[in-house]
Amino acid sequence: MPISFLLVPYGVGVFLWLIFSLLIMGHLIKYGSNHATKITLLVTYLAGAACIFFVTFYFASSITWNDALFSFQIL
Amino acid sequence: MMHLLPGERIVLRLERHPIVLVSNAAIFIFLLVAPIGFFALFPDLLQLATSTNAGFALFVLCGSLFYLFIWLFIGHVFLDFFLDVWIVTNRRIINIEQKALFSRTIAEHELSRIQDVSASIKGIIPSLFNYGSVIVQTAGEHENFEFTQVEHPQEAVAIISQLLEEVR
Repeated sequence: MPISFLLVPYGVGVFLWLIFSLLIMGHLIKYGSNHATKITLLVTYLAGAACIFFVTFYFASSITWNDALFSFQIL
Repeated sequence: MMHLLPGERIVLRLERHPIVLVSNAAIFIFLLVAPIGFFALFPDLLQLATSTNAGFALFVLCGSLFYLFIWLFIGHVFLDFFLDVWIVTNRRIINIEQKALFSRTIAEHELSRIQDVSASIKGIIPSLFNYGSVIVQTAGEHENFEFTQVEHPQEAVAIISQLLEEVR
């Protein structure tokens, strides 16, 4: 299925990204000593990721998956 | 987190100079801008890649993953920078170094075991921004400490030397 063809690798990529992000944030929370800097870094990191997801879904929302399916069937 | 011994107080806390982030930032800025620049230079390729709905979907999802991972690497570089700390107390020197995501070294030396402390500033940029290395030589078979890319290394050496005189 074309939808899964596109979404499965994306999902795997996002899953890996999420695991490593959790590790980074975990390290930051566990070992960071300056609370203000720690919170600023965490908020900045999450806000940056949220921006990337927002832009992705903004563009992805214009994709009609039936058309994508049709394009792949042509390919 | 570190625990102080009874009667111990933190005299100096050394962190890496923020300017060292600039060299890493340059790489990431290049990586962030490179795809935009590439498709600005070759708009036909962009049009070709996004001409079909499938191509557009693939383009959006690949772009999303690319920027997510760049953001992850930026986060990792900040973490490495933020978690490298050298703490000097009135009894010991503690070296906390985050070498990689799964590699963290914590070492400490009693001030009484330290033989010599020196500062080293090498290069134009370190001289301009006053950052460099503080090298701590210890007695016996203990390995030496080197605090790299720390702010005001000469002031740090002066403070540590004063502490060493107090201990002796």
